[in-house]
Amino acid sequence: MVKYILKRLLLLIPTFFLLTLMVYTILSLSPANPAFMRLGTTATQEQIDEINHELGLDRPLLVRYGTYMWNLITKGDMGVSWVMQTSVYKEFMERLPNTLLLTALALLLTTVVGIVAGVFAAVNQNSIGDRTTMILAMLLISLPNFFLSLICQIVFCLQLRWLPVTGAGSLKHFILPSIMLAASRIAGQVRLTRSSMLDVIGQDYVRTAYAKGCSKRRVVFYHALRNGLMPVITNIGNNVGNIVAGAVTVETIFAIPGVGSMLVNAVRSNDIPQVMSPIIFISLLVCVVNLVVDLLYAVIDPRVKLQYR
Amino acid sequence: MTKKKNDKKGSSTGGRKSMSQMGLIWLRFRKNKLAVIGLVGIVIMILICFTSPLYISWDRVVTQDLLITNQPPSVQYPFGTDQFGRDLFARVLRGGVYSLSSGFIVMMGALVLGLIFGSIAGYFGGMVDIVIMRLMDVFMSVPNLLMAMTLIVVFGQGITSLWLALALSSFPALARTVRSAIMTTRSAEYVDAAHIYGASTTKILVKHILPNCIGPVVISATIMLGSTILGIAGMGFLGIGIASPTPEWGTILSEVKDVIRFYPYLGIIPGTAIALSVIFVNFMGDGLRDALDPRMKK
Repeated sequence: MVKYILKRLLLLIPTFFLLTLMVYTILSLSPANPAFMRLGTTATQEQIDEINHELGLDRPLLVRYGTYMWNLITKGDMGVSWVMQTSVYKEFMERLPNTLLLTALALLLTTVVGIVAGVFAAVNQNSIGDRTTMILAMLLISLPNFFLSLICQIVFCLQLRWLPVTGAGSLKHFILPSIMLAASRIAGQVRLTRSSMLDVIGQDYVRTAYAKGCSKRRVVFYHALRNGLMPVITNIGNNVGNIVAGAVTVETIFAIPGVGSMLVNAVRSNDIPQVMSPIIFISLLVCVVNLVVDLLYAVIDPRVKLQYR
Repeated sequence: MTKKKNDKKGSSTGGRKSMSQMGLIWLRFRKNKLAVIGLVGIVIMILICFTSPLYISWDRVVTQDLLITNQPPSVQYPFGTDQFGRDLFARVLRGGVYSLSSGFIVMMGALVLGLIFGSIAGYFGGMVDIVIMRLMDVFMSVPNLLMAMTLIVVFGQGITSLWLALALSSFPALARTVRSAIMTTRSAEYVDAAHIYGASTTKILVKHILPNCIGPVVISATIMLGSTILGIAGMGFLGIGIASPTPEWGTILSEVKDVIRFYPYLGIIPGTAIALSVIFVNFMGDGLRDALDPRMKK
């Protein structure tokens, strides 16, 4: 087991470098030029060269990548914003807690509500409750998240005045945004949980459990749930990625100063260093979460554990 | 490809009334009420939107008239006018052309890329497979929408670069589906037979393997279509997709977002259009899945 964990941890390092190299290379193909951004289109070639030299843009790609990674790992330096000429790291760190809180709340909601509703629908297959849940899930999947957020913002914040409209001062500010963010993923979670539970409920050992005289509750919670939740756990890693990506929209609508809104602004203004850091961070987060999920899998599923004795 | 399947099915069902594979799929699809609603719904939406250029001129879509801002729905302006006095009816209908066709174009692009990379990886296996799939894995660890944003920075903003960015960011998932489908068909006897007859690799891939693993690929592509339409609208809403004054549904929503508090229909109409198209496509995708792969339906 220890060997397995170590191996997975070590594999994370090449993945991280491959990932960052890929993002760096793609972004370096951008035609955006910081010199024009600072000096306008009237800049002379000399001025452009000077700024390119100052930012190290005249050096080869791999050298630039190496320098970027070295600075990132040793000093946590993510470069300087091309537009505002401030430290990317500082802004990133100021915004990170908001995004993390939002994502964590949304992930919690997605997982809990998704699993509860999915298990409920599977256990009561083809009942009215099951049908309603599945139709609701279909509607939630199809509704654009930003549209739902806009409507709820108007209804709950502007008309009823239950919650603050925008900003990120208190926990209250995060209630509606995290619900909205979770709404986009809950449906998928419900459908997955339902189908995986249905698979398990059809298994022989579940029938055996019933035949032994177990109560329905015991069969569902003791026999079926444990196996039925396996694919659901795998999906958590997937969810984290999508929720963080969805945070981009939600943060923009509710004007939460987070990493997502920083990314949108940076994309709009072609500010490469500002685009780079959120993308790298989020991708790394997804990798780490997937790793944790895999390890968790090994702990829960004895079959996986046996493989790596 | 259909013909080949006909023969196979015909011989295996023996005495029973033989039916083509496509016919069976269509029969199963037709029995699913929601799937039919989805198919009919999306076809109607496409027809309405794509015939709109015949009677709605581009002028009507973009002309601003500050004398008639924020008009409520009426006979002349069935959906009212926005805060710039533009006819929302014209914008939503002509906007559908952009939203829906973009969805299909992106899906086709991703499908082609997915088929190419997935079949190469799945067919050759070994080192080629490892390298391609490892790269796809790394690519996929950046969430779709964020990858698309990154690519938009590179390609610049515009409709073509939006298509490219979305197709490139979503194809790895399809490549994976294609690969696993091919892996399972590759070891079939008729593929070995084709090898023995001396068929070329390309011929085996195109004529024997791809037609037989098209099912799961079509399913994933259709399911992807829904999220692609949502993605396009989302990018439009964030202001990094199809830019105003081109009337894409997400872009329309982002234009009116400050005034829908007072004129709700301005937001509800384009929002419903997006939601309806995605619902229809999803219904169709679910029906297609059940029809193509009856094993998955219990």
